[in-house]
Amino acid sequence: MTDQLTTIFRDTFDLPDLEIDGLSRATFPEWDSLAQVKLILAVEEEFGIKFTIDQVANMSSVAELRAELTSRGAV
Amino acid sequence: MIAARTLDSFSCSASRPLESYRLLQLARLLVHAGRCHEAVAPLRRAVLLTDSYRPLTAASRLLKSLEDARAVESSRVCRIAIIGNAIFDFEIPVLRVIAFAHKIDLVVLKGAYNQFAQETLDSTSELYSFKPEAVIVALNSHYLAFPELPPDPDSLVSRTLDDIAQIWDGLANRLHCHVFQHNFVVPEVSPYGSLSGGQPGGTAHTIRRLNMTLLERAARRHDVTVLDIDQIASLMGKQDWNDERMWLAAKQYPASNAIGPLATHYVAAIRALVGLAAKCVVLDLDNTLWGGVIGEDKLEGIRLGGSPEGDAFVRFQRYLQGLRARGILLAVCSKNDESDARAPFLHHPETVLGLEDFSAFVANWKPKAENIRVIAERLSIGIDSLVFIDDNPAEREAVRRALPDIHVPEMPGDPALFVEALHRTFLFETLSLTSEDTIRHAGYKADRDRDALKESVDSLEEYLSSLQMQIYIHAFDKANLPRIAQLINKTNQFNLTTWRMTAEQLLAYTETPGNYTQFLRLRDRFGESGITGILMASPEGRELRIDQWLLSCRILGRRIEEAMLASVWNYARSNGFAALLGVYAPTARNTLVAGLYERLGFTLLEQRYDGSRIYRAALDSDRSAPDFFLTEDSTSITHAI
Repeated sequence: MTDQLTTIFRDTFDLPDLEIDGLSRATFPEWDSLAQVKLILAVEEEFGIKFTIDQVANMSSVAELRAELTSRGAV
Repeated sequence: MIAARTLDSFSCSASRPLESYRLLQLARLLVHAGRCHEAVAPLRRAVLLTDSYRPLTAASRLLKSLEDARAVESSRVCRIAIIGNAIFDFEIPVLRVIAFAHKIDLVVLKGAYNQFAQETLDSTSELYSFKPEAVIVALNSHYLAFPELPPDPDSLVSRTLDDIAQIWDGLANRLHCHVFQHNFVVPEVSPYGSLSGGQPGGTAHTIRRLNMTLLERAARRHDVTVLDIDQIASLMGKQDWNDERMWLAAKQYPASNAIGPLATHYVAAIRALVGLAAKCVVLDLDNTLWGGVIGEDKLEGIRLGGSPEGDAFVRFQRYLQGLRARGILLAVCSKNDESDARAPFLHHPETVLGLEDFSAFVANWKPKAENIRVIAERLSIGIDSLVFIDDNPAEREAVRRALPDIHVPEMPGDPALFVEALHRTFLFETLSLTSEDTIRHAGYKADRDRDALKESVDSLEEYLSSLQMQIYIHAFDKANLPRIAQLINKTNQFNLTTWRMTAEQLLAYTETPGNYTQFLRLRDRFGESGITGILMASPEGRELRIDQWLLSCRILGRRIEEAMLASVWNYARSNGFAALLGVYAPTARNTLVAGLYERLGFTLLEQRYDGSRIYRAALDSDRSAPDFFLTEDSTSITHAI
């Protein structure tokens, strides 16, 4: 899962060396509302799942994303 | 690079998405190896084979690398703006990469969310300083917010139309640009269920009315084209068209996977606007126009009509006949003995197409790319205006590699799907039908008759007078602007300045006081050539400068240019100008006219650093057209649109 998530984040932000552990919207200013939607779309397609409108709007850290993917058995 | 070589040789995967993925991987490896120029072709093909959001965004990232490395050559740059009540951040990279696949370098300005009214009304807005050639007014159904069963649905429709027309007027008054107006998607949901469509005043009913009226209003103007978004949404399926979460969270409309199909239609419209629509379909025969191999199965063995499979080929022939009726040329390029190849069109009871439907018919055993070059030359059209249809993937690949400019759609293995496969390339989209489109076939037939005559007379002079040519020269008028724009945007050889212009820019030029315009129609004993010559000139002090001068290659070698010059010459002289100025701007394709002004008695005035040359001719005496022309010239009388 980490590999797939890392690729998605690196592609979205166009930062080939980005490390995503501990990344969150609060500490990473490039993660704006537009990037949020791009990330959500990419994660949904990669893992074949759909997030709720609340998650689309408010999911705000890599840790949260991982927890959600794990709970959905997407790993 | 072994990986790249393996990917390159492993061609033609089973499905379009797989093939697209393979080509995308190949392009990525080439980019990473620093071989950006070689990545261009596979990336173009990868894009044409998919309309899914993710591969298209991946392709758009690679395009950025190619552009940074200056590896991309485009046949046309086009500036467009998108405004409306949504965000366009997701759309633009996809739109640009699809345009790239069609060799258009698209420069895009995006409007801010819901700021379209301010952007069009404020003449200091970025929209106006950007000077787009076209503006897409991307309003979606959220803009309407129609109530269900309002007391007066008619006035709701007309008020909405007035608001939209105000946007058009704002754009038309400040920019000479084309407008692409979205129509509205009839929504899937309504509390009234199917009554929403059946009951006057129901939302679906009202939006359908609005869409019809929008078309009627747009039809009254030459600068507005309605994009049928409701149809595009239906093609995809309305359940998948919108993702309500994306609208609520980000004001993104439509759904991410609808962006590809939408952008594909945008690019088809832009191609039409800049005159890049395809002009001719080059067809294989065996297993393309009928089932089986005529050389082996003979007339009674091929499958054409009479069975479900045979009927699929009949249906494909019918679609092609429809294309022909609207002015697209058909040609045959087949590996067969010529007599075998012709037999089904002459003798098969179920054939829809006849020999007279083909403007060129080549059947032999040479490589197809070679024959296609011959066809292009015979029809005097560029390779980039041809679409090659063949059921055999190996032939398609060989033609693609030999002729990178030709369009070669992937054809499915099943003939029942041929019509849709060709249709969904959207290569034949045009903004309007011009009368030249429908007389084109007669024109090519007449060309063949003329060639036969040419062989039977001795001198060129004798040949030209035997043609009994009648020339009609007129100033531009609104009715003919679409055809004039078409000609300006696709003529390459006899074209002195290759100055591409949209119909809107043409109108502005024509309306500028003092400017001179002429178009030329030609008729001879074999037929009517339609509008085939254009000349535009503007005053520069006491001299009149020829800004634009071009002739369709179908009528070259008939000294038409002398008649055109005589017309502008005498106009300039009688209006008190001292001299005519001529400009020649060299391109890769117009060397034909490099010596034109010298040949016509102009003297070289100046050679500019960019290679262009300025010529001058003093207007000391009148000039007349060669006497074998019968000329009717109205340019000196009427000169306003």
